[in-house]
Amino acid sequence: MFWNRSSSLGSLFRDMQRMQREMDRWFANGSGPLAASTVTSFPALNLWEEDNQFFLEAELPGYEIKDIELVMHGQDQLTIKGQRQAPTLEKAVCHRQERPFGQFQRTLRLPASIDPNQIEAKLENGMLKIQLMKSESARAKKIPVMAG
Amino acid sequence: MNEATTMAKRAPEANLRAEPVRRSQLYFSPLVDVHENEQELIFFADMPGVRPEDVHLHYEKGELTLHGHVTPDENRQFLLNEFQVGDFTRTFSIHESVDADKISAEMKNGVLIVHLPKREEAKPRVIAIKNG
Repeated sequence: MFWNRSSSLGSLFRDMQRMQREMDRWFANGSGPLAASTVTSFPALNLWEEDNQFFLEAELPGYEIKDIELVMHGQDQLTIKGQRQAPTLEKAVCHRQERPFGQFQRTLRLPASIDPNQIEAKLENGMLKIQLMKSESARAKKIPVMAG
Repeated sequence: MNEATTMAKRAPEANLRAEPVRRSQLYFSPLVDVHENEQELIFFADMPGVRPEDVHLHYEKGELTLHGHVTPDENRQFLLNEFQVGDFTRTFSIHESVDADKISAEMKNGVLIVHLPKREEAKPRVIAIKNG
């Protein structure tokens, strides 16, 4: 082995603390008005709105564009699918394996209907960023008040 | 997210020897894979949202520190907030047979890949047995 920390009891404790933090990170109750479930699915999502748009972000490190698929169902359901392959290394020994690999799928119901023709998604440094435009009927409208 | 949870998520190993250029409030320990072959040790660290120019690598006295800075966005009113954003940092003790001058790293889709080549004397070799 190429590091010495794993031999001491203190390091075991540190590792456990770290695991706990990771668990907190991935399984924390989501907050915000849409959070309903106690166990969070993968990937963890952040969603916010500005004017007539929704912004959705997910942490997907090591994924390439070809590994991710977005599908819109009905007016307001967005499905994110993806898979990450473990790197293949010739004649290598694995000392530590913490990063998850494999397939995932998650469907999210947005709080308003979406225009399926105006969805923009990009992958930036392992972060998936999706911009969704609300459909015409879901946009905020100003109602003129008439003088009596 | 209440204050207690936020505190618990701060990594204690965040006290870097080399002061990073910038610091944000939250620290996370990145998930790391470590592989070894005859030539080198290879680290893969998941650091989503870290730009290549915001990665700091520090190697001193057999300790390798990985640090990735993420600038958190201004206060947003989240409808759904399942993950927090902050710096990634983690330190590993490495055996001294690593050739520190030849350590190299690359950032690919939010994954930091660090190559730590072994010193010549640490590489495996075949020992010939002579006839007596």
